[in-house]
Amino acid sequence: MSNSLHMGVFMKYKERRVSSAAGQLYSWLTAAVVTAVCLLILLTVFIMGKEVLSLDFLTKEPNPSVMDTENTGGISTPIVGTVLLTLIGIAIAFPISLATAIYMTFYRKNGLAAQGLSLAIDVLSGVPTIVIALFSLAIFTNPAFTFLSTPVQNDGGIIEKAYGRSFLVAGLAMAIMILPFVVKAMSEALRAVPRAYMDGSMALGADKWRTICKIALPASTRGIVTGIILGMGRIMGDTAIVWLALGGTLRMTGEQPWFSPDNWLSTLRNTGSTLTSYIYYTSPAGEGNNLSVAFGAALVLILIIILLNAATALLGRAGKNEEEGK
Amino acid sequence: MNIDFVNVSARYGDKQVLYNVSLSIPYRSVYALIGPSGCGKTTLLRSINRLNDLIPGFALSGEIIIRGEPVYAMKNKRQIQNLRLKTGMIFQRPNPLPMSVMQNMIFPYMEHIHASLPEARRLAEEKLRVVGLYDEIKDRLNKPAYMLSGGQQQRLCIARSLMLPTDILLMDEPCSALDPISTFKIEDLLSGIKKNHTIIMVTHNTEQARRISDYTAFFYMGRLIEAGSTLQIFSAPKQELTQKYITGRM
Repeated sequence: MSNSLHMGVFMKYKERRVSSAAGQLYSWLTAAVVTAVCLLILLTVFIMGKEVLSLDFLTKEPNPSVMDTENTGGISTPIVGTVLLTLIGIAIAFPISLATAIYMTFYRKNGLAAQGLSLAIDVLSGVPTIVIALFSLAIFTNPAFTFLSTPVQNDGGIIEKAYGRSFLVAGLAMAIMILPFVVKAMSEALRAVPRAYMDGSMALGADKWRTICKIALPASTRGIVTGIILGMGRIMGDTAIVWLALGGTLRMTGEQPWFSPDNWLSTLRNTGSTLTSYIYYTSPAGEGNNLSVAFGAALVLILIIILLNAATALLGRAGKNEEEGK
Repeated sequence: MNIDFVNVSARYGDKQVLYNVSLSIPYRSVYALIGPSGCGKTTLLRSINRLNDLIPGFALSGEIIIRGEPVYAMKNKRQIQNLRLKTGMIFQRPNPLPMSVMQNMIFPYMEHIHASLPEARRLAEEKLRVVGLYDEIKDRLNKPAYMLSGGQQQRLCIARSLMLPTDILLMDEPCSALDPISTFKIEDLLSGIKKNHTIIMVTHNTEQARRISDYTAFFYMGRLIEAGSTLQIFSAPKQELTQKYITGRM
């Protein structure tokens, strides 16, 4: 009797050991698969893309490659386009997001308006970027927004509508797209400011706004910058908005030379390409059917994003050391 | 120049935490507020400089009168700010701001008083001497304040509130996060500060209340049970609850 009871306990123990070993194996395997997929993508892009990587590739302007696949040129304007669009998008989104985050963290009261704002941010973060692009196209082709892109005239020379595709328009659409993510990241950073700092400063008679400016913002700089970098990464990786709102051109279409300081406004009001749209055009899905340059551009894009992420990680580590007083 | 609580009741949303507290705190005394956790003593303390206003759902009825002025009748932001200027507050955990020792000292001063930097620094050094910190850390004035020990940080916070024209010092269990030696240093310091400050201190440590306070008030479940001179409260408490608490049977 006691022996069978003993056996029962032993069996149970054995079963448990088997199931926990299986669980461990399963989680280990999935971790391995995730790592492998990541490495596989990176490796593929690297191997396929490194062939075309050269100084010429980085500094020459792209050529249409439908006819002449040997003479595709480089990716200088897509790189500039990516950087330009990222800067415009973040420049528009940063002040709005920071102010919104400050409101949400320090000023909101639990009313209908505050709940509406939270809901709006959640919904906005779920809107597909192609829908945002479509929306921006609908809005910014209105003749009132001609100053953001270029006028489209009818036969009589009367301005019918705006072209609605330009760096400025795409930058605005990008800003809308990243707004919810940046607001969330910044709110989190501000919420992490210790209550004691706020209490202490207020108890010393500093008013709320001064406390936010002098204490909360400096204490959360790291989180705020992380939010900015997060937003930049999203802009760099997006294709749908570029495709619809920046226009389907490989080169810069403003007054030439586009890089001349005299033509900066014209460049911003006209179309161009980014690394993501360049990859699309040159891929078999686009017009180019030129995989090797697509992979070259993909490699450059991934390197930029990895560098950006490394910067965030470094920033995080530096901040941690500072807090520990090293 | 007393601080008078008149029928003070307070709530956070639906939860009432203070019931009809009336208490008069004499000027230039050390007044200890004691009682078990959650009895409302910290709420009462934070009501004095209206720091609870920041907490959503907080509401107070009754009135607190300081220097003849009803605190909760103040509508103007400036008045409330002025109140906080004259009312220093020391928290349970030392809360130096994320800047250097010296910047901590001159931050409130430069915010409110238009003084030259050298003057502010001179005053800061003087106040650091008052709390006995200057000689300990004079080579580290430009180092981040969080590099000081806990006890030093707390004394820095006390010195910082002395930079402003305070005559009331609110202390919320100022020694509960500190070691015995730091606690002793701070208690020692209070007898000096008391000469021109009214000190109101929340403490869990009945021994501390007995050692340093002139008056003691005992709270239980949001109600003021008994208040009087510390000697009387600790030697001949009138209420059974008080006696139970100070003898550690609660």
